[in-house]
Amino acid sequence: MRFIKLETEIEEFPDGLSIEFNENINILHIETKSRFERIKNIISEFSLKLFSSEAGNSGGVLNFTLFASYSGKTYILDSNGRTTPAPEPEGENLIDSGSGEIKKTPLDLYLEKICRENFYLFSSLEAGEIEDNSFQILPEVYRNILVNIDMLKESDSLPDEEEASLEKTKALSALTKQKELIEIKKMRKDKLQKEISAINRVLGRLTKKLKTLNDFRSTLNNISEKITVKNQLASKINNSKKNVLESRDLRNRLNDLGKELKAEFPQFKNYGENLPSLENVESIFNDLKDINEKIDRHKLRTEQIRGRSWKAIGAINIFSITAIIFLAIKGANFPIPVIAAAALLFSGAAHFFSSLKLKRNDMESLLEEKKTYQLKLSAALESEHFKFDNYQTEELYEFLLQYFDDFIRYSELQGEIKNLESNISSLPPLKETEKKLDSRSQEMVRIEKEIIRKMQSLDPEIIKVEQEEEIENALFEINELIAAIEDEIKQEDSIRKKIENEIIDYDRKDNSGISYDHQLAEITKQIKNLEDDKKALSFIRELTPHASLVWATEKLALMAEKTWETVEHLSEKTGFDLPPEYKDRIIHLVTKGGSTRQLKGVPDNCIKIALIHALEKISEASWLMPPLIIVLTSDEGDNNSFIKNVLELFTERQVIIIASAPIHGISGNLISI
Amino acid sequence: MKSIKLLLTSDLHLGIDKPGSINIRNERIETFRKIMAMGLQHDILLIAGDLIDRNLTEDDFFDIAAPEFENLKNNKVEIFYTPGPEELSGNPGIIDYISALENCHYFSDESPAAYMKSAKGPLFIYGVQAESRHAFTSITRNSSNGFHIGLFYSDFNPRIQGIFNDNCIDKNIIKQMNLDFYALGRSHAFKMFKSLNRIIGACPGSPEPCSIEESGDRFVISMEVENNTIRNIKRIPVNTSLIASASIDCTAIKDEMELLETIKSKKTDSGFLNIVLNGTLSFHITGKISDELKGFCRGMQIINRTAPSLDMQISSFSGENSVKGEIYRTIAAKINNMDMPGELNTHALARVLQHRFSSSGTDREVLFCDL
Repeated sequence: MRFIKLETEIEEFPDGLSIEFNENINILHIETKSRFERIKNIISEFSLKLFSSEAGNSGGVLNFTLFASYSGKTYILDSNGRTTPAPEPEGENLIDSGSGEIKKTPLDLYLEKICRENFYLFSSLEAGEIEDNSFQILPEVYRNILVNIDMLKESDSLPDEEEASLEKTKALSALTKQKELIEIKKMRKDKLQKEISAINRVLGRLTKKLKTLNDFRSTLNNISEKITVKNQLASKINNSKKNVLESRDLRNRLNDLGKELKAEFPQFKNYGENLPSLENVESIFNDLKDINEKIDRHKLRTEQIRGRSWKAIGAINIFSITAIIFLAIKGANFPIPVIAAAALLFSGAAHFFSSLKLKRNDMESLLEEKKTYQLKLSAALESEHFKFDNYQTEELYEFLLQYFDDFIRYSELQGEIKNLESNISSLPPLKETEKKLDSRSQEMVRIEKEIIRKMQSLDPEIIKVEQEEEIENALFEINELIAAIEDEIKQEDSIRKKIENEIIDYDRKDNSGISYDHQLAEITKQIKNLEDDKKALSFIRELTPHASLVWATEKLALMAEKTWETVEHLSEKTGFDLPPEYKDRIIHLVTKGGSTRQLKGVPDNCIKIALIHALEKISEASWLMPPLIIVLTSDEGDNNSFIKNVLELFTERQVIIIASAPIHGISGNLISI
Repeated sequence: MKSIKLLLTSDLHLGIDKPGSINIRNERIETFRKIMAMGLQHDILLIAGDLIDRNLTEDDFFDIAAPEFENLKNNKVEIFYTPGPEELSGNPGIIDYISALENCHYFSDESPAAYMKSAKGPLFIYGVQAESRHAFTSITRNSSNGFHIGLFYSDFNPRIQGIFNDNCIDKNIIKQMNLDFYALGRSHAFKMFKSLNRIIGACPGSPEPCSIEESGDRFVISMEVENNTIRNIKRIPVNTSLIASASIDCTAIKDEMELLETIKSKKTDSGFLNIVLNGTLSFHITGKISDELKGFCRGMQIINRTAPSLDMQISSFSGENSVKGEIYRTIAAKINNMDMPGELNTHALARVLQHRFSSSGTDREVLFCDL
């Protein structure tokens, strides 16, 4: 530690005072008594600030700012004993992000560890300060300082086990709370999952029930299908029975017709398949019949025309006679011969007209045609081997008419037989049909048995079905039951989805994407680590004092040796007598403690300087030592040689000498105020 | 009031080229385009600083960034821009070519405005550029009815007050500004701030990692303001690259080879890997790990937060002539005498001793870095 600059504004220095120190020897020469006193007070004051464990209690009287360097950085120590980095490094955050409190600087930590109460152990003040020119040496204080300096050598930010333990406790508390929170969340989630499990159980039960109902419905559908098959089969059996009966009827009819043909139309029996072709004969016969009919009609017409013409001529003549008579009676001069002539003319015309009409239906041509057809018929009959040699024409007609009637009847029967045979041939063979009928009947029996078996397998607790007729109703009922269960399943499933979404939302809010179990495991692990750390810290805290004591006791013994060596050295230099037994006394005093009063003849300043020097040498950390401050209150002659001897010892340390009289023969940063 | 959709982004550092930053130039450009495309689905784009890095060349700016801003302009998307330090030229003022963008409303010391009103509705946006002459304390909510948003390049801590730090909005400043919402840049990590069950601020963090430490998904924030209330606020991952992070407990690892294999097994498709070694280490790590892992991933960092095992510490320090040495000697003696407390975990003891005597006090060392 080094002092860099002291700034103060006090009465004695109305323009302000700024003292800049170098790294080695600084001599403040203050001749004015009041100024000397004031500076001495300031030095005492800031020393007190450094010494005091409760900085600032005595502050406010003197305002000063001390710039000091420590661990490569410059700090400002103000009148209130607070240190701040100077100048404040850009961007350095002095606020602790956790607590919001102002962080301690490394200099604060340093002062806390070694200086606050024991600064005088590092610096030498004026001789008159200590009562009775003696002071107490406290080995535990030195041991403590040795340990603290050793620790500061390790790091300028000394870890505090207690603070570390406190931090661990805080972290543990935070983690425990976090754990409790996660446990609550987990419980909530578990509850939701339990609800889901309960719903899943309900869903399982419902699904099982639905399966049973579906099976029931399936059986009902199966029975229904079988009933349909049974009905179809019954219909087929009926058809088969009908076919058998029909087939038998047709065969009987066929037999009857065969018999009837044989009995009634024996004349055709020889024709068999080679019946004469009577179509030509029949055609000619029909034409001949037509011609005869025409002749008959011609005869009738001729008579009709002749009758009408004679009636017309008679009417004309009657009219003419009547007219002549009338005219004759009336005596009219209308010429009667004219009327007679007109009547004659009309009669003649009527006769001519009827003759003309008769001529158009010439009888002779008809007779001629009839003759021709008679010849054709004879030829046709002959060609078909009919012998009608002895038959008259009329007999022939009668014969032919009878023949044709029989033949028509015979043909009709033959046609019917053919139809029957065709029908019979279109029907499956009777034996086959009978066989089919038999197998269908057997199938029918099997299906009926199956239906009975299936109906018996239906659970009456679901729906009671006793008759086949009840199947349709049962199907309706089971469909309703299934629909109800499906609705229930849907409802439960929707609740489950809702809860699942709630869980997803819950997890999303958590935002970590890590399961609660995993988080809990992680936190539990962290808690375990912290607890282990706390135990370890506690172990180190218990172990450190002992280890420190062992180490510091050893070091203190070395320090005692070194103190003796320095005292001996100074005695040689300054010439005071040093009894030989003082070595043990000094070593005992340093290691066991006691008052310097026991060292009569040895100046206190000499003991103090020796202790300060030994502390610096044994701790091997001159850079950690505060400046050596020497206040010379008198201008006694031996000051110069004392100072010279002291400065020879402290070559690696900043020294500040405050003197009211000039010091000769010492080079350094001379500051005259 | 019709709802207004806002998209908040910051700290993309488009064009970043600094030692320690990972080389994902193309991914960063892709993410920038992704964000701008998302901007088209919103009414307003809020930029809370450092979207563009000063290392982005002017040519790249006009090739990559300017067309995207032009597209937003053509689609009537309003842009409010609080420049971060990377967007400042040092004159002071915004880098010329950035400030030349026509459709952006900048908060700048060159044309200071306490707030700007959105054309989309009763929405007031407040801001000050980074490193501004004007402190946050110069901002107070105006009396207009509407939703008042602060757009700042700043840290935010509503729990503490009296911070002597210009880069943090604390409890006092929040009280004084009295805004409805604080849209924030600067922090590269996503953060959401709540007070009395109300979201009062958010920081999207960097949409693409700028350092190997920025692992996991990176976000922009989309929100909807209706009737002077935030109706819907969500973070949307936009990162193109991804830094995977892994932690390895070395306590059970026997030697360096096993550690090397364990590290290798953590490799992912993302190409970037940030590994933290924890626990206690019972062997010395040599240069072998660095040699083997060089070029193994596109980018990799290994942080060693392990403590040497108790045996190793005893062997290293028990010869020292110091209190520390004495402590280790005492522990060694206790171990030899089987006088250690039964409930004491030696790994914890090693950890605590390491922390107790670590010279830096941080217990953190970059073991390997290949970027």
